[in-house]
Amino acid sequence: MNPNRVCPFRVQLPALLVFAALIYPVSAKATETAIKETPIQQVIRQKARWDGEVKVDGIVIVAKGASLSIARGTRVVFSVRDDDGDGIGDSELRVEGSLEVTGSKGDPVIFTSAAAQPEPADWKYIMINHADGARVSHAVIEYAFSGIQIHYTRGSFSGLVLRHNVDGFRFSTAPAILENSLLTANVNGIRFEERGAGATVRRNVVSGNKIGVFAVIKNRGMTVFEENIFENNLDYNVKMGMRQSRDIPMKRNWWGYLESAAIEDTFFDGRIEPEMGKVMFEPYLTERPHLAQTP
Amino acid sequence: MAYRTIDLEGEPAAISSPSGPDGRYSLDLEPGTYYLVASAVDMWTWCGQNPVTVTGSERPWIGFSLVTWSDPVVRPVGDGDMEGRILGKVLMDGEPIEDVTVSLYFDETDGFRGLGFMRTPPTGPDGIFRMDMVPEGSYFLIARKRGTGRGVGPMMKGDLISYYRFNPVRAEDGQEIEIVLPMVVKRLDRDIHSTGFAKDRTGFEGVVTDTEGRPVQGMHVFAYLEPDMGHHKPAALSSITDEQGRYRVFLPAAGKYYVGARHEYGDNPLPGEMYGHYEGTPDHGLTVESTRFLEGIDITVRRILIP
Repeated sequence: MNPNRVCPFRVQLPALLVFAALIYPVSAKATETAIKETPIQQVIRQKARWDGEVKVDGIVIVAKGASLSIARGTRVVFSVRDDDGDGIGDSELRVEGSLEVTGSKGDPVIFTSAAAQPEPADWKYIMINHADGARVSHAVIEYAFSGIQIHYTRGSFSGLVLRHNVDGFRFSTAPAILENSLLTANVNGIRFEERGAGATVRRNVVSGNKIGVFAVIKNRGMTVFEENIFENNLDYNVKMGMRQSRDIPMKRNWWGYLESAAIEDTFFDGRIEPEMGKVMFEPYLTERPHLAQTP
Repeated sequence: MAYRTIDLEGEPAAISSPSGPDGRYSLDLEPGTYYLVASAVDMWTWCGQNPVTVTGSERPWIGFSLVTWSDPVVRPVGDGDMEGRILGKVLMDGEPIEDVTVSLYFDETDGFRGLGFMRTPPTGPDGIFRMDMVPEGSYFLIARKRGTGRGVGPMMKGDLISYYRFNPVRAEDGQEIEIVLPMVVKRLDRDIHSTGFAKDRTGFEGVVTDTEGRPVQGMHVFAYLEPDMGHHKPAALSSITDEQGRYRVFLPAAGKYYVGARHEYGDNPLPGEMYGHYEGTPDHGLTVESTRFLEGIDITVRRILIP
């Protein structure tokens, strides 16, 4: 990798990595000393629809059985507050019911920070956890700790721009589909742990992140990565977690190079640390695909 | 005998009169928290419910299974430079027993839950265990065999346990300690069927049902201090729900707890597992005051990722 590349972030990456270390895992001692609870601003218990500009200052919860739809052109602006002092913003949208975000290519839904000089982790995340479902199309999600986190839920995500987050798109135990999206200027474009359920990641551009894909642990090759563009990620296109011992199939993607040796140089995997699995990237695309639907 | 501290130092807070021919005893205690042990000549045992909290309004039934202990054998090893070693054998009714894990803990902060500082692999048919390179220090040593066959999870009725009589055990560099651990059977779950239970404890109880309202047996109910439950060790958990889905959770202290239920214990839930949160509050949190026992904390569970 080119050591002279310029960091695209406004804040220093080491600080972001400290944020990441703080959120997981967290020691019992650290959590016992949490000083303030973030207030619940709103609980959506039935059906709700957002349009225009919506300010989130605290936690908005879409309760189980309820639904939130967000119309195209809506700006959801998250205030910057750090109630527990962990360095990560605490405003968040927490979905346990269902979420439908319907932007359009020319008029996306924007999820952003309220700060005048926004930075990654200004707000926490859109958390979709043990939820009824999610469908998100044509949205820009920026300056969060995690743009989207989805766990134990089915969901489809297309036409997204995930940028300036610590983790752009993070999933575990979620048969989610992420497609036709751009993930850029994040610490980790995609971060995932399959834990028994694979996702589908296709026709995305994952470029200009510190790490393109971070495969943390418990991945058994159930996730399909196909026809994506992985290029110009600062450290690695793919990084394995220290305990990711299985190989991960990632065939039929574009890796920014034509020579397999150059492609392998963009992985932090079993080629460097023998305890780790390897990225099984062959056969790979030898021509950069034209992804017309990707923002 | 009832002690105020886990190291059983000092004079006991109370000593019962000797048990009768039927083994019955009675111990009068002021309200408070105690560590109970029983002894008779060369027999001794630790109360599996320790620490026991005594309130003014209940008279709990606490049984003991006495077992015979032998003194540890301490001998030098190597040239004195190497770290300590603890080894020995686990026995049940004098016979070696397999599939027992032996754990070392620094202290009882987490109620001796989790893997501990060190843990042996399961014993073989000879019941022998061995821990090498034990750093110099004092440890609480506990041996367990769970009916589930798993290395973690709550101890259930019928499981085997041994709390070492001479805890905390002291490991020294260049020294080997050989011990024999007699196991006892856990006779009761501290659960919905507990006898002598009074509701001036701190905790909560309820029923676990599926989405059709049918009770679900065999679920664990967890109480966490943190809202992102899955990333942390629970502060308390129930024994498994009974055939009516009932559970009971005893909390270590008053406070706000986030409550969930799942079928398994340890690691993250997998697709198909029954799982649910307490839905009585939007954040699944429950504030419990000291010596208050909340009722009706019912939880609906559903199979993960199964429509």
